[in-house]
Amino acid sequence: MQGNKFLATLMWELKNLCRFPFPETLLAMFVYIAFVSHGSHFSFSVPLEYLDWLKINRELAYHTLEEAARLSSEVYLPLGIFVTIFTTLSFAYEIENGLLKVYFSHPISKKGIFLSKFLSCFFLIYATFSISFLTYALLKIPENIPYLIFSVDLIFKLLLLTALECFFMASLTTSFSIFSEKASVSLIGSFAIIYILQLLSESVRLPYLPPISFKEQAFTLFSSTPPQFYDILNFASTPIISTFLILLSYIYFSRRLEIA
Amino acid sequence: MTKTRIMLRIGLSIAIIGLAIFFSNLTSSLMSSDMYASISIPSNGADNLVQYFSNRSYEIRIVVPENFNGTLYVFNYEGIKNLIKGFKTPLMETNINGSVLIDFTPNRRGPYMILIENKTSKRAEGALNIIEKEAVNQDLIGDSLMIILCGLAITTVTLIIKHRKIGCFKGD
Repeated sequence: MQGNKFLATLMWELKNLCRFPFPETLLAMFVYIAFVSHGSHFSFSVPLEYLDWLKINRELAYHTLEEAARLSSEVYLPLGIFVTIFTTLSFAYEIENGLLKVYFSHPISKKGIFLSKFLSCFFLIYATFSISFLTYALLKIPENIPYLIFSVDLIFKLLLLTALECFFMASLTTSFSIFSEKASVSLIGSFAIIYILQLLSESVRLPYLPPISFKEQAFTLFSSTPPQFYDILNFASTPIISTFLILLSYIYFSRRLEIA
Repeated sequence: MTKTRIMLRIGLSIAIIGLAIFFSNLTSSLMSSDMYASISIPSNGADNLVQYFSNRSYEIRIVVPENFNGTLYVFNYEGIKNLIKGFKTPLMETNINGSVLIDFTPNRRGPYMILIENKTSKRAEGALNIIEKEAVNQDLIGDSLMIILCGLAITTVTLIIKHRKIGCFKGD
């Protein structure tokens, strides 16, 4: 019964965000950025004594998906703008206007409300993000599509990477949205933080700050050599920060939040 | 009603993806790039490079010693498949005597194998420089138009179904 209520709230939240043409705009933006970035045209050599068709196809699938994974960090700022809008609409706007009271009057727990709001933002950006980059990978070498589809492990790596990127962005903006409790502050503040992170990571070259950390994650995931200790540390830094932020904002949302 | 709305948005999304690819192709037509690789061809042997080419003009520069004598082959996707089966069906075949510059325009984007055979009894060390020229990818334009048409077809069919349903509901 509680599960049904949760699903109903989640669907309601998704419908709420999809009222506006956000998914279509996101798709257009992500696909455009992926294709316009052009990528570095990959090249590799194969030992002529051991020419194997399956090995060559596997190599092509690897290079295509690896390129898509590296390009995924290019959409950092547009992704940030849209996640900020979504989380502001879902949390700060409803807290500010007292609309959250209506949710609290429903027979659903605060955990359910929080999760449905967070997951609706996450699903929307994750779906558009992964569809765009899979489209890029599939259209890169049309003849290789059957082999690409069967490279499940490589596709999983790309999906994991986009999920981690979306999770970080969603948790950062959600926590700012909940703590600020005001739509205008959340909108400007969240985007300012995202932009400052980008400036910091690019000027100081800190590998554990996004968007450089996303490139590092792609490098670690698609590396043919086993990762070193520092690679694992860099890889885990953003998921750990995201989990910490989301837990902190959940605790504040369920225990400390007061709606006027 | 909800299903038709979802189908309508899916159709529009597909058309939008096609449009985004179309415009990105137009705007990236002014970009060019180059690639450099070192090659080492064993005596009476061959060296190869599988390179991704777009549907654009390329300038392939092969820098090898003056006394080098060999053959350059360029294979497309099917050509690589045939090469593994044991027979050569190259798109291009040129004799090389020393450094050479070749213009190459693939008719479709995809992986191409550049194979250089050494006919001398000395190992040859050299370099391969590939310069991509500015152009619109004709094949990607065709593909993006196909995607736009697919999206528009889904949207149109859904709109027709929707209007028929409304007509039935009104008792027409």
